[in-house]
Amino acid sequence: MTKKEDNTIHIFCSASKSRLEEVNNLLIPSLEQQTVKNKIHLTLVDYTGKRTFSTKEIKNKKLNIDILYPDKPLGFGESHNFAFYKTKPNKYFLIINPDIYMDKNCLKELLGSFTKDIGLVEARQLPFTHPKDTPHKKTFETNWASGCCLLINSIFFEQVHGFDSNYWMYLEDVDLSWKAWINGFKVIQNPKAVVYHYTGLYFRYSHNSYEIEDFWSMRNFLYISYVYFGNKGVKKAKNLISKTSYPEEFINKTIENFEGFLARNKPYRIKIPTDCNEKIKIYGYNKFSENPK
Amino acid sequence: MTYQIYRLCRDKKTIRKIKEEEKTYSLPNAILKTGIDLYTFINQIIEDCPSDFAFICHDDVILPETIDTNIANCINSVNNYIGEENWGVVGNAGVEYLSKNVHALLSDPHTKYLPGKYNNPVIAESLDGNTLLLNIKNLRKKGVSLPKKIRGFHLYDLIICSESYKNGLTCLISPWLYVIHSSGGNYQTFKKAIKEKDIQNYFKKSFSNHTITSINDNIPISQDYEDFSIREKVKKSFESIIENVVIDIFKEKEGELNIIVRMHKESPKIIRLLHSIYTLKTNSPKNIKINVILSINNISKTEIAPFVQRIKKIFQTINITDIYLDNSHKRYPRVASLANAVNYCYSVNPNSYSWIVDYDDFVFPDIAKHLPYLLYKNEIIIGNSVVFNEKWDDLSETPIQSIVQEIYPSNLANRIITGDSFLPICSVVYKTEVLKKIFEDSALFGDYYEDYAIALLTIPHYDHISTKISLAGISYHGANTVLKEDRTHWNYSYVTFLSEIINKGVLDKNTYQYLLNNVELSNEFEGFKKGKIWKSLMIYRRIRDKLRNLINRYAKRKH
Repeated sequence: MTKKEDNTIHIFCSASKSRLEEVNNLLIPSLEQQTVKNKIHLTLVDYTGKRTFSTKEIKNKKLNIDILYPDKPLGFGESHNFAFYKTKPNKYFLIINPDIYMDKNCLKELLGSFTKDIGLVEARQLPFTHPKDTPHKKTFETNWASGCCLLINSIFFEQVHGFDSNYWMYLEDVDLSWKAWINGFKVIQNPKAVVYHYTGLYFRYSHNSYEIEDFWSMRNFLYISYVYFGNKGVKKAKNLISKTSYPEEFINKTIENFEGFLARNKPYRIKIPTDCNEKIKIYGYNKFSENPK
Repeated sequence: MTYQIYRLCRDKKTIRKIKEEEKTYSLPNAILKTGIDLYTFINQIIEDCPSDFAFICHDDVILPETIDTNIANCINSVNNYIGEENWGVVGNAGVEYLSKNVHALLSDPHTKYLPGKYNNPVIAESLDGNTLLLNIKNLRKKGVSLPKKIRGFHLYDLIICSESYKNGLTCLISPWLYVIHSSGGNYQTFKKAIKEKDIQNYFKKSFSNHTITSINDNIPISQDYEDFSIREKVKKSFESIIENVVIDIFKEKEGELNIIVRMHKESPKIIRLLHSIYTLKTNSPKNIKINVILSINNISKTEIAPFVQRIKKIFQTINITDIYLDNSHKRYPRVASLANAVNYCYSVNPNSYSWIVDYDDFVFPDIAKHLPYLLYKNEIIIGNSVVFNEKWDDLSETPIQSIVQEIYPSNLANRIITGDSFLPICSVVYKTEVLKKIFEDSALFGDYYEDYAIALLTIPHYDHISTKISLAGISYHGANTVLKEDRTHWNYSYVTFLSEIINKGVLDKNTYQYLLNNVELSNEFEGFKKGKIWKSLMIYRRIRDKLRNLINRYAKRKH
């Protein structure tokens, strides 16, 4: 069978030993029950760079599963770039979080809604949807798509050189979505493709710790503001950040870290074409669509 | 079992006074010291104490004359609950694990009510240092001591707890250590102490937190934010260290949880619930058995059986039992059907727990890892629940739209005594025998407000534990009975339940009269109703005990 005829769907998941239970108990069983006819090839990327788990620890009955071991710790986007360049999926591929349970028709729906002019197809997350607009009723277009369970057009991905590795984690999916619009690809959500992602916001035993997630969220908000809106964007971002409930010290240190990064790396800027102005907008702190208010 | 009492006194005069009191009231002789700080004092005790346990209290603590027996009872109850090798320190006040509720089982200038009865000691994140019982053997074995660099009279209580947890030992609150503490502490010097360099460095080095909860106030930690740019987590949070210790201690405990699903029709919405139960089950330790009991009412078995068979086939890894109400035309089918399901669960395993949910709800799997702890010796477990505003297509197994509408935090549970229900039925897990007793002892006439009635009939009388973790998601989707405008059925159910509750004496006359007549208390009660309550979220039982005590005292004085 030639590569062109191969109907294998490649799925990439960035994980470590600590997420293995979720991979074994949630992700793999839900992939095994997918109604889609394509073969499923799951590539797990041990993002720690430390070989924390092996194939022996994977409970698998039906799928083809590989583990990739990068030689250094990789961020979320970098992990998927690594898997992409190793695997080279020819039409599309899916990226997914390890703590996801896919509805049995999810993959079928995602693949069914793919056309070559589409850059990204996002699944709908339940019970907690992202704080973003409801997709357009007819076209299902959306400003940005979450990387939690996302079908990506390989041609588009290669064209934009994959995820921007400067993000490490958070907002690299917003960046990729905006690049899709800029490069003439659509970003859509298929509401019939459903995934269950139960963990998150409401379950913290303690809200006291401003952990690594909060840092990267804020730092990347500054970064994306710079990349697309320049120094004016950074000024606006700082103003929005100052209105959040984070302690002043945390905000100042994060800004300091970002400015240090900016001075050292001088990242490139992206010009927003006029026809994308409505899609590429910042509405508030980490808010990239108008609704919900 | 041997113990020694130690007291650090402010001066020699206080030492003389305490010695005299010991003789007068036949109290055990304490080792009384002065002239050193509490860190040095406690470290010396851990190093030199010749007994298995050291009881340490402030010099302004008044001990009960029964302290000897109380300490023995305290040690026994803690050993029975958590195992003698698993604890480091017990106190009489502190911040509860998983809920962060404050438990103050003493009398001091801050504590307005006498504590109620506690069947089990409470696992605490941290303790108040007025009275501490140290498990010398365990602390030495694990190498627990206070940091040598820190000196003074503040935060030694919190730090001995954090050091215990860092070394795998728990800390607990026990009513057996009840005392009167004459001083409320010095808040100003506490505020000063938390800014001290050595204290800040200790917390910075130990944990990733930017805030540490203490019984006195939150402690802001000046953390190096640069750590966050390192591409891997280098430190753990205070809470996650505690969580790991508790999870590890309880990991072998067995438990059985029945999820009783109320259903009255064939609806694909139950698929979402069963998916979430599947996720909960797969995330739960193997020693926790999870069953699903379909409590079916208002529909004939013949009519719904094919659907039940279909869902059993889809979820083969879940143990699903279907129970039908014999006579589907009974006047109160929902309550009668629940009683049937509870009786069934009790007949299978009287020690099991039951969690009642509706077919259109779903459960959160985040509680899974805590189940061995929560289902151990507790009678009622209360968690948060989240209401989602949803749109459904009748044939769909997933909602078209699902948006968070509101959250019912577990601490609102205490408001049940106001006559309003803030506790959806799916927010509570009951020991099956507790539910069985309610269905047997109470008529529960009416088919609505049964969640409220069950909570009000149980929570004031049984040991309950709260958690900040969400238990269930509730779906509002237009077809919910709770959204119907005509409330006639509900009003009849409500008045019937309340009438029964009043006549069963759940809220007794003395309490009611006392609340009405005491301006200070009724103001507090109003504050309580509005959620502006003081540090500890009291429960009705505790108010009642205190009120009874006050009433008796008042009556005696009048006499």
